[in-house]
Amino acid sequence: MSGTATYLWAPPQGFAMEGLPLRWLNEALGDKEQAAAIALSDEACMQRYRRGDDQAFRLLYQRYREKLHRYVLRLSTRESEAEEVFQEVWIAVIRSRDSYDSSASFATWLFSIAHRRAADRWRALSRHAPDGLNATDDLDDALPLSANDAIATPEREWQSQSLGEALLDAIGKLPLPQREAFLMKAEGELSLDDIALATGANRETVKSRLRYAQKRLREVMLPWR
Amino acid sequence: MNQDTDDTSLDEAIALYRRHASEAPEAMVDARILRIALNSNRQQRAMRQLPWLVAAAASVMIWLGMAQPFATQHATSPRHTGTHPPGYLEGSSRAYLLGMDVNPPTSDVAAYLLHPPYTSP
Repeated sequence: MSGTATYLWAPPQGFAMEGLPLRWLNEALGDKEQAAAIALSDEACMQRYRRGDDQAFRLLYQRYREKLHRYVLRLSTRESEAEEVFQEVWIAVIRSRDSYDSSASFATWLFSIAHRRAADRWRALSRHAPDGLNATDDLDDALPLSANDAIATPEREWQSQSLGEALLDAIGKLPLPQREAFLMKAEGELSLDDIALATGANRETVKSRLRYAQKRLREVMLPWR
Repeated sequence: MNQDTDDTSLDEAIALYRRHASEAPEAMVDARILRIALNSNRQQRAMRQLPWLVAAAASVMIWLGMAQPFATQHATSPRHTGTHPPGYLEGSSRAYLLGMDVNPPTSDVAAYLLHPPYTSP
């Protein structure tokens, strides 16, 4: 993801129904101001927030709340755990806003915080961290392929769940480093270099993780083609 | 096509994933985080204003500290209050007289000016 990319805000699914942050934003800004704020890049929003602009933070939060939530949700084993990590990440963003380097991509910074928070928590809970022992990069040593299940019983899969559900299931069964790399790409729209920066791995390792993830997911999708 | 991995199947998987992954945080969580952000900014604003407030308060204190003794002295001076303690006028008159130049004039002009010749109207 480019550091100067702009993102047009669209109400996330179910968000208008809850309406709380959106209502605050609409009340605080006029139509023109709202349009101008929506066109702001993430980095500009962060700069504004550092200068005390609360609306800029709300905009950033709206852009990344679902993406980050799904990222931590798919890396954790329980929803409550994911919620705690999700909050910890945003609190870290708030508290360390002055240390943010505006020349770097906000998404990379956000997901690198999420990576560290998640890894710390899972280490503390003696679970497998993304770079822990169980988190193997080796395709042969990885967990049994969910794709094998899908291939073995495609008709049952067809009846019980959609391709999308099978894919989500397969993502959940990917080894953690591969899963994390895939999620950073899918949710954070991060480039290989950004993922490498966020996870502390080198570019080739990230590329390899994505390739393995891609291979596994392709196998899952194969019976539906 | 995804240039990083040079394969369209990853793009397909990502597109499919985005279509089906729809989880979102609860509104309570949103509200909590936004409140923390708001409070944090308020605190930061207050901290930024604190030096100016301290400097302003210090200036007022210094000004009051300098003005107060003068005002007190000024206000309690018997000459300005009009209420003289007993013996004040006698004492001040004596001090004035003692301070007067009582030496004889040193020149004719001074002598003339100090003791003009008596002229009848």
